[in-house]
Amino acid sequence: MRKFIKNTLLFLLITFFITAAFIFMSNKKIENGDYFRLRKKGTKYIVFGHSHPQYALNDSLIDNLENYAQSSESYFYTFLKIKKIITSNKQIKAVFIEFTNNQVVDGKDNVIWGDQYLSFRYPKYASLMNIKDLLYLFTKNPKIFINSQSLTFKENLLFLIENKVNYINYKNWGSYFFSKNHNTDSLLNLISKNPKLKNNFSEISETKIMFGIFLI
Amino acid sequence: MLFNSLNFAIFLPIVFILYWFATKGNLRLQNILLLVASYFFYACWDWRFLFLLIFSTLLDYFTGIKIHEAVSRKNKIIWLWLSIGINLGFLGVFKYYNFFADSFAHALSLLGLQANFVTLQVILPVGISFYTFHGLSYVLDIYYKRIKPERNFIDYSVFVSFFPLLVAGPIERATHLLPQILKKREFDYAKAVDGLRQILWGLFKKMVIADSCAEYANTIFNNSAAYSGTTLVLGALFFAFQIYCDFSGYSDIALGTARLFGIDLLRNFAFPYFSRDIAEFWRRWHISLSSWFRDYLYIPLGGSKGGMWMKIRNTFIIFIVSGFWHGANWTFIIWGLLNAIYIMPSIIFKTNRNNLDIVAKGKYLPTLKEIFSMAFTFGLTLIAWIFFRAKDVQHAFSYIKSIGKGLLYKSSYYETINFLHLKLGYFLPSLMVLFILIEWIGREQQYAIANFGLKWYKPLRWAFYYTIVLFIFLFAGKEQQFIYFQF
Repeated sequence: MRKFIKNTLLFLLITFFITAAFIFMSNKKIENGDYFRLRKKGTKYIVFGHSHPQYALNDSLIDNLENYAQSSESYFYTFLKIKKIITSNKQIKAVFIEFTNNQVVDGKDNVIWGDQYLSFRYPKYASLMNIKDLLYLFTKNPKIFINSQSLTFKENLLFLIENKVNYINYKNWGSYFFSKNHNTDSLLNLISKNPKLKNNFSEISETKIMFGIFLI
Repeated sequence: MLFNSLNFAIFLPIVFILYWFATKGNLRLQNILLLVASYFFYACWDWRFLFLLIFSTLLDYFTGIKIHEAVSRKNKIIWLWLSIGINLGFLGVFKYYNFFADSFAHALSLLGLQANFVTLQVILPVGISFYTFHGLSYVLDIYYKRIKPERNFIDYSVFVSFFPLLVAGPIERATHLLPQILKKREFDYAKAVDGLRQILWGLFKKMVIADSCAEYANTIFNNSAAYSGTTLVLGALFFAFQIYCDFSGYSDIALGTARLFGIDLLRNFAFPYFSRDIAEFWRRWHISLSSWFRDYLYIPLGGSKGGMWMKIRNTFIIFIVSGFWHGANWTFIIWGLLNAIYIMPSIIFKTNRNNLDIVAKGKYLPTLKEIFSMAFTFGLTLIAWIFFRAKDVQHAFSYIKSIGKGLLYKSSYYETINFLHLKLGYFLPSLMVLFILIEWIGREQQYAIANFGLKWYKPLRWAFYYTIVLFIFLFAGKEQQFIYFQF
């Protein structure tokens, strides 16, 4: 029995340390590497936010601008993304950050650590996170945080093995999306019929507004 | 709680440690712990259905005793039918009521009559088909005097609810499992290590092969109208691998987990895709269910004793019932029927027991005849899987029809090559080939890697295990529910 437990624990510990060491080192290599160049050379203005700017601003029609907004992205992740992009691309003159009610209202912090959001976003930005960020996510959703490690491991390994040059494209950090749907009129109609919807504001989320301030 | 989830990775070591250390080898405490752990495991799906499981356990426990104690044959039969009736009644309500209501209403509408039956909005209790069959085998074995009833309720409940087999089998027999539950269990290092190896192999099959194939099988089956013949064949091929690796992977994890607790479960799969005829396939696929139907349905119906017609009739009955057991849908019934038709030639020409041993035993390669037989058998099962996977009968027929049409056009082959090249890449096909090779090499073992590297130098053996772990990390597909949980 002792031998079994000793061997099993040893096997698991080796697995854990190799995985953790690889994730740590690959994250560091990616973070310090020259992998974060913007898609277009002459870009001076960049846009961040969630689905609203993602669908609103067609960057192929506007000179010197690139759209890096992505659906359901909260300020927590935008903050990491912006930091890295502006330090890696000195030519940027201005950054546009979307501000809407649902970026700061409470009750939707789920978009930071909710199961599907965390497992989707964590591998994208893990290499940019410091220990505080990691602990923050771990305490909020330990199960998905741990599950996401294997995906991070896989994506980092493939990124390095395949010798990719652009992490922004590889991880799909956001871009303009064309949508055929136009819901504005129907929404305005709905609001005019239900005035209550107009004032449907929740409390402000401290977490979100904090990262909003960080961004500024 | 899925076997390939973090929850199970926490749950299993806790139960393991408590089982071997906290109980100090006391059999009574070990069985109580197994029961509590099993009920907790089941309650994680939906605690409300725990009451159904406990009721089913109580029912078979008492009727088992009553059958044994009944003096007259008539009373034995009454108690037996009470148990069968209530067990199948639950199965009927939860699993088949809506199917019967819809089918009956449809049949009446064909006669020009209109009927609106109330359909039940109930979720299917996970594992109900499995634990119902556990219980039924127990009371039937008592009725046939193969075993005596178990008087200790805890021990009996562990037999029904032992967590590794609770939700998707293998469907155990009281004659096999109960004696192990009643016997003092000592920790066996070799057995436990073998259990971990089997779990690792099961995880590889499930997470790497099954889940990866599932993505493409789903893409093709869910949009079958958009694809042409050869791509549809590819879809069926992916599904064949998905269902095999999903279910046999699950069974490997279940068997391996049970072995950690010193318990051997019935083997459920024995490399079925290396079968040379359909009869052999059914001796190697979902063995615990096939043998259940053989022992508790085919033989009581007369088996093969009453001449050829009875044999044919009984074969059709067990295959149709087996299909229906899988789900309340005509697709499963046709799947069963198709398999019955496939097996008929070997029954009529009495060749169904020609291939009892594993193919090319003791050899590296099969003969050309064996390759042809295996490919032909696999082709037949592939057609049957289309019915199993299709959403309804119409979908299955149109799928098969499109395959027939598509095979005639060159453009279909181009589409499939494009699909392989653009959507799929070459990695998954390479992995599948590697998997088949490993299964081929290990086909004489209990599971493919059972003896693989056992005599190797330890670091080398561990490197092999790490390679499997790495493959799971790197190539695991998107997490999918185990297919057989829905049955």
